[in-house]
Amino acid sequence: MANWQKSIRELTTEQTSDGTTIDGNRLERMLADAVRRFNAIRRGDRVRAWVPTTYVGGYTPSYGLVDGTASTQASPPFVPIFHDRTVNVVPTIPTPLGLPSNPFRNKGQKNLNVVPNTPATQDQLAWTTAFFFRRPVIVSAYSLTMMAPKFPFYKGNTFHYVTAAHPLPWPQGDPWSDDLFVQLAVDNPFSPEARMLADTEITRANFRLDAWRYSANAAAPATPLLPLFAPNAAYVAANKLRIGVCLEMENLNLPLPANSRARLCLTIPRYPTGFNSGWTPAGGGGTGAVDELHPWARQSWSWTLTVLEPIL
Amino acid sequence: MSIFARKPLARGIKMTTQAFFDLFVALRTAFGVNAGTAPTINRDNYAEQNAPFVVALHIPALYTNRASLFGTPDMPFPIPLCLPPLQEFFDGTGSIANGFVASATTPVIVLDEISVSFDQGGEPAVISGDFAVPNVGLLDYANIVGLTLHLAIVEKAMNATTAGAPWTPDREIASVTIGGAQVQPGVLQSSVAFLSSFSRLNPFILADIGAKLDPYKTYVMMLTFMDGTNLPTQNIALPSLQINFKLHHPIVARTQSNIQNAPVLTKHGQSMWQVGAPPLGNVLVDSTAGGKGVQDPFVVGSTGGVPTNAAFDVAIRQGLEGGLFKDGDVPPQEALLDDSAYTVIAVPMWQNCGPTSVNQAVSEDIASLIPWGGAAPFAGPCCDRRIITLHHPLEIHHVIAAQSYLNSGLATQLHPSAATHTTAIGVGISTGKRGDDERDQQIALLSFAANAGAPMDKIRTTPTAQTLFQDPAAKWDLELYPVPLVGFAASPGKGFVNQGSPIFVAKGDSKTRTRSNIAGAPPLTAGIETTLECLWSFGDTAGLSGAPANRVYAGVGGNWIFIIGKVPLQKPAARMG
Repeated sequence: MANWQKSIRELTTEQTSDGTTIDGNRLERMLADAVRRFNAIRRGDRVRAWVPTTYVGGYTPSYGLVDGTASTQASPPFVPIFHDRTVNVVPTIPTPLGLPSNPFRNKGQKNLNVVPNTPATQDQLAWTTAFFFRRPVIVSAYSLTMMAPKFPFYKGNTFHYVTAAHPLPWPQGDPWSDDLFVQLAVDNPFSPEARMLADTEITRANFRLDAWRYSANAAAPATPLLPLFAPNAAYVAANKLRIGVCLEMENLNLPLPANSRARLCLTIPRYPTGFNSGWTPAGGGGTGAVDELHPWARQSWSWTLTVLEPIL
Repeated sequence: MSIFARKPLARGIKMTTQAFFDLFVALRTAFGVNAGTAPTINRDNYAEQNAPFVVALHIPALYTNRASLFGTPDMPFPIPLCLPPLQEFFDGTGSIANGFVASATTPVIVLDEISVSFDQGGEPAVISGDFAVPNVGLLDYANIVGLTLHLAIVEKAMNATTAGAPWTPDREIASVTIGGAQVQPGVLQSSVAFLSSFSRLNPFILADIGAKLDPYKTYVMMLTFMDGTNLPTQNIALPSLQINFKLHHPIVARTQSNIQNAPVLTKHGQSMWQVGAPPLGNVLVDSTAGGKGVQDPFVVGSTGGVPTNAAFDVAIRQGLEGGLFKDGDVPPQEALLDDSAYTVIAVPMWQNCGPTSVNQAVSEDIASLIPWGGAAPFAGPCCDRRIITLHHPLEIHHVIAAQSYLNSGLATQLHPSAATHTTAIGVGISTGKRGDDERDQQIALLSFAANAGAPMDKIRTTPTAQTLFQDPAAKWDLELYPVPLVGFAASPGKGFVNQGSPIFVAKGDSKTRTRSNIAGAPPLTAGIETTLECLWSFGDTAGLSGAPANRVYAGVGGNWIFIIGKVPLQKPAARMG
């Protein structure tokens, strides 16, 4: 039959409507259809068929040799995002012809206070984590916490610049940091190494961090978690337990196709010498208060990426 | 085994109502249409019977420094882990004396894929790890040639489950070499995997492995740098090293009884948790409701006749319910009994804490740099913390901690052994994130003095040639510890040690915030958990610095906390905007 098409019926393709006869053969086919259908309930039959997978990253930088000096922590996993033939490369190793292939490797990461064609003196550094998803997935949520208590024995971080220690005046005279960027990008399937062709799925840029404070001067839990570590006792006394920032993105519902290469980037600034900076093992360092010199080396990082994957 | 069967209608058979309706009665019963009848549709009746999970290991930065033990040939960077059965499948009679046995009813875990990635800066280059100049973080276009990684996952018998188990792994599950090769001594082939300007194998994936894993054994991920990285002055960094093991486990039912912190919900007047019964099924059409019976495709006696296709179709297309809402609530009508997946959350602790030196381990010789160490002699306790936002409900069945003693400084890697040295590992749930009312609830805790630790396994991965650097009194590199869930006295569960029953965690809402007890008392988080927090501290009242030298508190690549449990199946959120 030229017009035949597979029935859209679920239980059976047999039609037991008025005016039709029902014989044993039809009943047999109907029973067989029903058994086959309900003995292999398909993924699409289910309301919920997705498994959450939680990817976690993070670390706490070392304390530093002398308070008020540049961090002794090496910058990786944060590495530069602007590439030039002569800077941001190992000086003793020549750059091959035609390289770098991605002078700018992140989209939408414009920091108004960084001039990108002068990476020798100022730059942005990105912590970039790549994932390969062989099957289709849905990015469900992302969160980033930066715990930055300011107590003895650890360098606190107020995420708050002093005006003199920042390259340019802040909009509205606002000294709150707004130079942390977050991005999730997916490589182009045909030119996967051409970052200019990457598909940006998430970008958060130029937002004030004080909008994402973990807690607004909350009362400490009566029973804090164990183990207690040195500052916890002080925290309880000070009626504060968790001080820092929690950037939260929920219900993202971003579908990624099979064989996607996704890159999750956290980008921080490296300002010129004389200004507060990110990681400045070779220069930088500002004139502000001790805990404002290196705002990005002074917190305990934790990030969570939640991805939904279909059942197998 | 599929639950629906029928007798084929043979030619000449006398047609009876049973021949036709028995199947539909079975369907009706299985889906729990009768009030008070639980659904019995389990994974045997699913076309897709397994759920994937990922052991995702993130190392912020790893250095292949030639002046270190870690840079020596064949010296692997190891991470140990184990994947014990969920508590309801755990061998409750097991012990070191008589062994833990995976029985025919123990769900099988299968390793499907291995993937690895690290940041090359978006270039056919590596990131320099040369601390001396310093060039750390800069692009190095030369030393990418010959960069070769060997990634393997190996298996060993666990001390806690097998008496007399050796420290060394004895079986390779899967391995892959990525990158170039040494075509002849001293001559390196270009590393095609990482050198192309157009398509690099980074991330690299090895798929379709299909290796079954034993839930009572230890597995060790071993990453070895080969060939090119062994040349002098080629110190490189691997920023954002991400190693993922993708596995699958059969879909299982969510824990119905003996679960702590579970929502106290009722449906049809019966508790949905805590009563030992599966969730009540009331699927498709409630035949007990007045007037609806005539549309019930499963009703046989009252209406008779052949069920209409349309009624079945509507039910299927509306979707069969199973799993939980994001806030932990139960769907109003459930059809599917097996609705949850095995999960592992791998939490990196004490990563990337070393300063700009060859030593990446958190050890005695950098005691002054360890966060929270205090003033000399740096008694601590020093602590690292990870805060994990909970986006979906979770049942926690086991917490396993991995301690590394791998020292990279070409020095003896002593294990702390003094009674004054204390290690404490804790996991908690909290509420109050981006709120004003912070509350914490401890859910797992392990604390021990260094001379009294009881690891469930000891693992040695250091090649024989390098064992001279090992602690003469403790010649192993890694340890696994079970971190017991709270509540053993009030709600005993199963595990490698005495611990409480599984603990449910979810954001909660007005319906689900009333929870069962944790450790015999109402949960302090009041049923609105938003974060999971992992803490790992160590301290020494005699000081973390000083004699004996070379004590390692967290080895290269840090320590790990593995949170193992179940996640109910979810559906994507509706997209806004």
